[in-house]
Amino acid sequence: MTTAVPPAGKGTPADRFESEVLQYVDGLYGYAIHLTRNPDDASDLVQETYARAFKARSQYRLGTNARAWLFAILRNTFLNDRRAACRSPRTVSCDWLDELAGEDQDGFESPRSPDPQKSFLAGLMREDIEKALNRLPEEFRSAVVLCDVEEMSYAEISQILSIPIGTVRSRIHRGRAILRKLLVEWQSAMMEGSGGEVLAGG
Amino acid sequence: MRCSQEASRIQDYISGELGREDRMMLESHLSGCEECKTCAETMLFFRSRLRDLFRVTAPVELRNRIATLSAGGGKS
Repeated sequence: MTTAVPPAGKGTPADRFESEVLQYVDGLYGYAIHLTRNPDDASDLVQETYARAFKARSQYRLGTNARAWLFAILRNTFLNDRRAACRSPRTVSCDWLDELAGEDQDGFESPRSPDPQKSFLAGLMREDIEKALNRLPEEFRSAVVLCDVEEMSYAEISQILSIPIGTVRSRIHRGRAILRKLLVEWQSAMMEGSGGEVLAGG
Repeated sequence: MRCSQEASRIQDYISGELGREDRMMLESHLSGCEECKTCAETMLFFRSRLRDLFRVTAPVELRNRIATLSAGGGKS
């Protein structure tokens, strides 16, 4: 059941292919959780991604970007499955996003001093941030997660999402601003006592 | 240099997407502008929170499933 991964540059091309692709299991699983929002579905999605990658290994050239290739397979698999599950065409309305991002699209609100901002951010629970991330349409969530969690370059993300680098850039800028705004709004609602269940509730 | 125009550049800075020259220009601005410096620090901190909270390790069971795939079906 175990596979011994040979060091890069050694072994047969098949071994080298495996050693290249198998190093991204954790990252793919993390991204799959953001897409599916469920650990079991995420595992299935990653398994399916590898099944497809192994089948398509002839299309992959050793030494090229295995990570971008695998992440693109995973996302396309997810989107295709989702399209099959809900037949109706899906369009993303960005009106509410624009409204939410407002004029603060490129940055965070100017804080009075750094400390309250940082303590606010440090106090955020995983669930709070996850909930805010889940409010973002997939296109924005993917861009932010791939950039900020997986620390990929805009060029790599552009390859995975099949969109121009400029679009990647604006999605990341806007996605981050919206995330932050949502979290600040929820925090304010809680402080005022009018929305005590905003963060805790579903 | 107007700070409102810097916000976009700060975003690219924390993404690690600024070239050497742009990076040096921005860093020089940050050293003299408290508002932008705070903005950059806050964004960097938020990014590190995202990374810390959402970097995960795949379950062993999933690794085993993939190992089975690579040893068997994948090569067929």
